[in-house]
Amino acid sequence: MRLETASEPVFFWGGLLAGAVWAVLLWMQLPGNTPGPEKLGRTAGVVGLALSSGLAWLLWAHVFGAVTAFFCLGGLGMVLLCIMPILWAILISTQSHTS
Amino acid sequence: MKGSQGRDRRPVPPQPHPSAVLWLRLGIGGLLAALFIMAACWADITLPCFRPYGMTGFCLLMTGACLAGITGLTLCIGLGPWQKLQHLAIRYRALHGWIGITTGTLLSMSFLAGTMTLFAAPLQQWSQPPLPDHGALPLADIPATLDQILTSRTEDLPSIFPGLHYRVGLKTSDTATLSIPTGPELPLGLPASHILISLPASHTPSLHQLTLSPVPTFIGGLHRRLGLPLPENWAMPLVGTVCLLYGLALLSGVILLLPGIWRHLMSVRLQGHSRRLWLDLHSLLGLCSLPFHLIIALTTALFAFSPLLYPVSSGHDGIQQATAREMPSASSLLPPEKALSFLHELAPDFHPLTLDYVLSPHGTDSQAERLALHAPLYNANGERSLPPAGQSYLLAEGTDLQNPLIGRDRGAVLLTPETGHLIDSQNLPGQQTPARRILTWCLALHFGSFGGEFVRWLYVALGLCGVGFFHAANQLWLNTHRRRKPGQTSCVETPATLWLGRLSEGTLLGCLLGLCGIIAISPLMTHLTPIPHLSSVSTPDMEHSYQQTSLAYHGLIALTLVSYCLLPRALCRGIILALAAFCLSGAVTIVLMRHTAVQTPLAAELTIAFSFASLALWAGSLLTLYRWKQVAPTGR
Repeated sequence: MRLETASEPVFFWGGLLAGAVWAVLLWMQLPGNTPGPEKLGRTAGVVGLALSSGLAWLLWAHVFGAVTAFFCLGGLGMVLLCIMPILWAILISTQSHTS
Repeated sequence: MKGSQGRDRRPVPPQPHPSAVLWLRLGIGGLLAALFIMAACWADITLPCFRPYGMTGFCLLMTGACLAGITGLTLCIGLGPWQKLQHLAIRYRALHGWIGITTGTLLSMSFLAGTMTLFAAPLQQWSQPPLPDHGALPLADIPATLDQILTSRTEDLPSIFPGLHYRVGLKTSDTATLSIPTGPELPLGLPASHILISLPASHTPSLHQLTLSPVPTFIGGLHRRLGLPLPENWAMPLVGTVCLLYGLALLSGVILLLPGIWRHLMSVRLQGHSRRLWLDLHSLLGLCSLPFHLIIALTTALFAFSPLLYPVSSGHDGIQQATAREMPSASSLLPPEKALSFLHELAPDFHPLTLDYVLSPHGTDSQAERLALHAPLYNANGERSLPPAGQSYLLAEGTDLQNPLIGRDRGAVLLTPETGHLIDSQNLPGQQTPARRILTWCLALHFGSFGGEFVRWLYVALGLCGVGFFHAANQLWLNTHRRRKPGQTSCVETPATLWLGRLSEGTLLGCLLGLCGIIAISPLMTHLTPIPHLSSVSTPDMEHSYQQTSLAYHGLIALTLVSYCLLPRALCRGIILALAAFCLSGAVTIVLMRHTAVQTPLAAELTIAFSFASLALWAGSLLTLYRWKQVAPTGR
């Protein structure tokens, strides 16, 4: 991460944060065993998704270029969507064991 | 009566295909896929509109043909009337499972080795012994230093270096390392030993011979051949076929998931029957990383089939004979600073890493050379990737954060070494034609060669998720095929599930142990020896080192499989994980003791990654052994 963090650190880390928010919001909108907070309605979720993905793409387009930023965001989304449900299941299972 | 007639008229739910029909459909689908691939070759030879694109056009046609082949194969299985999605899905169920269990282990080994191949270049740097001090030379001093070395024993040089090749490795904007490879080199092929030139305070250049490790090349080969111990040209047709089936399994998996996709999409149910857990994990990992798996299936089919078909399609010119020329002096060539400023003007986003001055007569990049050096047979540049043997060239390789790279971790441009005129810029990031750019994106999405280090780590995560995906597929198949005892909820192993279970887990963990084992010996296979002058260079037997690495790896796999046949599975799992952790910890210790763990930023990154990986393996091993001990009286 030397080159990308060295040249544009604010844009890179900002994009990473916005991308992570996007992936979490997407995960919460999908069906199955997700946290799905009650206060986050469908419309708010979709608006949040659009805003966070747009922001992440804009920030990363500055670091990686427009097309590369799109694929980077896709890769980050895939990784987080693969990992988050597993971590969530372990967390829920540990909590139910301890309570 | 009326009700009973109504019940009789209820349509009978469609049954899965009988095995004969399934084989027939698979055969027809396979023929269709072969037809698409042959049509791509035919179009490349015959249609004039594709000729100007050369290898790029051929590769894009082949990618399209492989995509059409996978889609055709999937359609052939499901063809026929259906009313509900479940009825269509039922036609794919058996085939999806059989493809999974027959290819899953091979693909999981390939993904594991592929994750390591992402670090091929850093692993080579990490394995190196401490390099001599004063190795970074001012760019301006390089031509004079080279002339000083090359003119000292000129009469010996042609016999040692028939075509002189020297490499300027850029360290900072005005310093670089200088080395002379002693043999031909190809990307991810067996490395030649290098003569490192350093300039101590006395201003008399000192020489060291650096012998590199064959381990990154071996891991790369393992990844490309799906872990099969076969020569590359024999393995490729099999790899291509496996990839078409892998594509079919991916598409059929989506069809199988579609009927109930919205119910448990993001659920991982840890409690309950283990079959449900493996199903959840397999569906989650497969669906969330589907685009990644599709691009891997498609590009691997391209890598496997195109070396077999391109010579047929292109009718290549054959190898051009080299003509010996008088060796020019280094100071008569384009100085590195001028080459760099020219490259900056040409492509401002391109960051050059190395400048290779290759003077004639030099070797050519042919299939025979690639086989000899254990390099990938696929070559995106075709048979004419290098200038003719009689023409000198300057190869500048580097990275670009804004654009995809066609190589595993770098793009390249060819210049004339005397004047700096462009010879070939088709692989220069940001300066490509639209067709070449599309092909570059296809390859970059396989290699993860875009977005710098960040994407490399994303690909590590995706690769490991891929290993989990195939392992979950195997476990799911085994759980489904265990026989249920009448009147009981527990299942018993059949001989098939027992041995397949041991084989699939043993092979995967054996691959892990083998990889950790050869990483541990990698630093021991590199040497740095001082040499008085160029004529005292010795040629190390890299093929022998490669065979030793291969023997170590396959020995460890065999050991794992034998222990899986003889010992309880959980005990075996714990022992193998502990051995893998021991090897990786040993490798980190060796490198730390040699003070090379943080020699370069990449080496430091790899040291940290290996330390975390060995800790995770130790934790996994201890947990497995603890659990085994708890259930031992009944579980053995």
